[in-house]
Amino acid sequence: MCDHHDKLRSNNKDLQKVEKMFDRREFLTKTSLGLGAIALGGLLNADKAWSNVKNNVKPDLEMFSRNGLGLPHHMPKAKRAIYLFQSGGPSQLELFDYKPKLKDLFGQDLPESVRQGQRLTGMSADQTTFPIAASTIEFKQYGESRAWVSDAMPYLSEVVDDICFIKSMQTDAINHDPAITFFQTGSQQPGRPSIGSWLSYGLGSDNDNLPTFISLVSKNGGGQPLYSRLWGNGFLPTEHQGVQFRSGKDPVLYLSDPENYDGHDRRNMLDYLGKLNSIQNDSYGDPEINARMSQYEMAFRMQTSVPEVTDMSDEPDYIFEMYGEDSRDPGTYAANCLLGRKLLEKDVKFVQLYHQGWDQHLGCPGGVKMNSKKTDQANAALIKDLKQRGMFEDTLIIWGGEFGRTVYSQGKLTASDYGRDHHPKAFTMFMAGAGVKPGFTYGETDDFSYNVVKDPVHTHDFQATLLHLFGIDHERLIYKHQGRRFRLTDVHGHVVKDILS
Amino acid sequence: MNEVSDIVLFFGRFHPLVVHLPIGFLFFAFILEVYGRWQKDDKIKLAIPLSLFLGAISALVACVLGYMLSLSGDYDQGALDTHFWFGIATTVIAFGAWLISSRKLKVEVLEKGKAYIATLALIVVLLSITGHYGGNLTHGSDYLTAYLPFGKEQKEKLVAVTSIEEAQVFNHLVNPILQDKCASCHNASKKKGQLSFASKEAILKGGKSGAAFVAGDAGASEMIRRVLLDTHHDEFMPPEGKTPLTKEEIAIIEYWVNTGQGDFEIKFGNIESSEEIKLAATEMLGLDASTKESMALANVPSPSETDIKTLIDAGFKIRELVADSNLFDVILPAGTINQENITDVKIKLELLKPLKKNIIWLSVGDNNISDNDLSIFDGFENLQLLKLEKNPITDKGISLCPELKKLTALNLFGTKVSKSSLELLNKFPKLEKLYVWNTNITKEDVQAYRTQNNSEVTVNL
Repeated sequence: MCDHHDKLRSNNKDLQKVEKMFDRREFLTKTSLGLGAIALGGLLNADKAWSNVKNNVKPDLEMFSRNGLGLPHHMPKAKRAIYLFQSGGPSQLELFDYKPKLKDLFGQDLPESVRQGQRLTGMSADQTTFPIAASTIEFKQYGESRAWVSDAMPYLSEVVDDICFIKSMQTDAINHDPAITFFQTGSQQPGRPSIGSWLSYGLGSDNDNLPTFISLVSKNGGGQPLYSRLWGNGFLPTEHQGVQFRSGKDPVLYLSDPENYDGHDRRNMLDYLGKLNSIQNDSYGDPEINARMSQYEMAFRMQTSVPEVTDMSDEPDYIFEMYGEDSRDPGTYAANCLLGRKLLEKDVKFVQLYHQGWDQHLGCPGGVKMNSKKTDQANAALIKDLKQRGMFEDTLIIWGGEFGRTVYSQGKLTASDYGRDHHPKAFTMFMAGAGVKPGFTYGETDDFSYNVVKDPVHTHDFQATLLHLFGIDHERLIYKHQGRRFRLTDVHGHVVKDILS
Repeated sequence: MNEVSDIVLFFGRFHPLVVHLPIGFLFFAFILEVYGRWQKDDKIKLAIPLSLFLGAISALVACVLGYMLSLSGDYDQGALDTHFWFGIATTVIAFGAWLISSRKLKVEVLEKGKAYIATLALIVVLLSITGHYGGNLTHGSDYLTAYLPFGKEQKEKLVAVTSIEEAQVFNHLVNPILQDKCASCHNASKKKGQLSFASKEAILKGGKSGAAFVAGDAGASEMIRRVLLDTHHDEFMPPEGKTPLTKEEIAIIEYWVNTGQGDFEIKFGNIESSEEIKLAATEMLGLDASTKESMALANVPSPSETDIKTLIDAGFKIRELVADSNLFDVILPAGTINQENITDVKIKLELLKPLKKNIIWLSVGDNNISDNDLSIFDGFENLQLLKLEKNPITDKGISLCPELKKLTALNLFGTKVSKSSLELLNKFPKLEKLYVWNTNITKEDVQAYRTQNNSEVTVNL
């Protein structure tokens, strides 16, 4: 029936007894349930049984990532990307979207003609007035592109000529978790694959020793929680999920050898385990068995590659100085930016950073300044560093949060302090590097930074553009699951061609 | 996506062959009946049940095969449905006729002479209709009438354009939209609202609501007003169920009416156009710069599998840049060649030679590549991105590096090149970006080079 018997029969008499018992059970299970399953399988797989499976036409060519998906669809610009996710919703009003007219309107109620009955969160919906709060942080113009940047981001202002700002971002969600989930997976409900997983699935890996998709959460953020499903694979095969690197002793959990074990026979163990798994795979054909096998092998290789890539001792002092003092402290945003660069250098396809703490319902100016202080120098350093290493050619940098913030003050407005609530209808993101126009600003908001008045870019448009830069037509990267064909952009999204270089 | 299995389509394609059997059998039954009556020959009528039976069976087979063929999705759904139902009706009636003629089914009304021949005649009519719609599916609806000797003007062939300036705004841009989105109801034979887009004259004539457009005034033009209405408006065009015009398509038509003054001959290059219009037009004409680039390179020969396998075994990573284009991104991971196997440099790089036309991006940074190794790149005529960073390369290496005609970006950061390498850059005529951080090249060198040579190259330090 199957070859378990010869390969796995043990020499221990007691065990053999047990095995026999199992065999009888196995026999009964397989004859009763098994026959039904065979019949059902035959019905469900009739298509496959009939067709010649196209993927097998060029088996040898799979070795250079001809994965049968016909990808990339067109000439890519980006080979890898680092997405600096600013979780919480950084205020566009205090950072990039300069609105000088607001100063004269200080404290006035936001006109209904601007808000137009827009849905608010429960946190400010019952406010009787919506007093307009101008940014107390000053703005200046920088670079040849004359881009407006606030004094909160002094380092970034030095590299504006490398940056493409999108000031007309829009999203559908107004609360943190659905909004982040929407940005990362294209759906507000959990369960879809994230951007990095789609890229991993579609394009495969350029480095066999490290995961294709790595996520880093900075330890000096704090604020709204993040969940590992944000770098989850959804319904895509498990090997495409993002692997989180942590700060501290073990960057990847359970990767180092347990105490008193030197790992010398691990290779043997894995080989034998692999044998067992492939027997299992022959009997059941569950793709997750393959995923597990490749994960074991990846973990084994990561035992060497991860300590190597997380080792910062090679980095000269001037690099640490460039990223800021924090960068010497593993797990901080700055250290993660530096680690991110190292991962990109190793051809990791998608590095996802998260920095929590941008949720300024209270004390907006102070909060923005504090978080800028933690991130600004590293953002600018990353841009400079990738540029000087020539990685700007094929690496995309993305900065942005899940939504923006309201022009009106949540809670009490004073001359120097105010809070801002979540605002999905207009906010700023920026990109830099492969395939995007440097020193460019796209889209405009009204005088209140409340509504987009020119060139709106929806979250799905951003996702479509991101895939486009990787050579992928977002309408054609599809995975069929439970009878429905899924895309990152669902049934939406337009590539924002105007920002492409 | 290949959801319909090949075997289904394989059999489906026998449909056009098999359909001729029921046509023959059923028509023959009709002829036997007519002939039998005419000659008063009852014997010959005995063959009718068999003929009908064979006709019905083969019609059934044809239906099944036809359905299989329809799964390919290659056919227009509307026309397909008509053919589909007429085919089934023919089959059902053929079976009915057989059952009656062989006396398996007794329907007295139909057994009477006149009614009976009427059934057979109906079969022939159905056969003709089904066959006609089937033919339309395969050959197009104007196949039968294309060479009608009267009443049809010859279609002018449109010359394809290679640059947007040469394109005629009406013929190349506007007319294809009209034909695609409007002409199914507004053509020479079907003039809804008395409007036809079949020819220049017809368009100028306008329809029931007056002129189709007013030259120079898109706002007053009926055809533009109609497509800009709210989609639920009664007068919105195209009517519900049909694909509306896209934003770009409307912009193009407006542009023709306004800027082009509705001139049927005017060329794109002769009138002003905004960036958006240019973009939309380029896309419509298939002149998109990015597609053109990869099209131009599409003729690179396919590399042999052994060559690729050898490369992979030697530690290279290979990725195809565009699926099935034979254009590759090749990486030799940093540190593959270190102090211990430094003698392998030459051997490993030699392995790239068979793929020299296929490699578009090449990364060989930090692999102990030295000056003499750079001569290897002779004939890498499609190379666009070359990453040589962190290798012990000096100016001599750059002078030994052969001309690379398509190179747009060169990464030399962390090498030992100096300002004399800058003088050698003219061997890379397409070069746009040079990365020379951490080399002996200084800001002043770059400044001096740029002013002397009037160079457009962006040098990143």
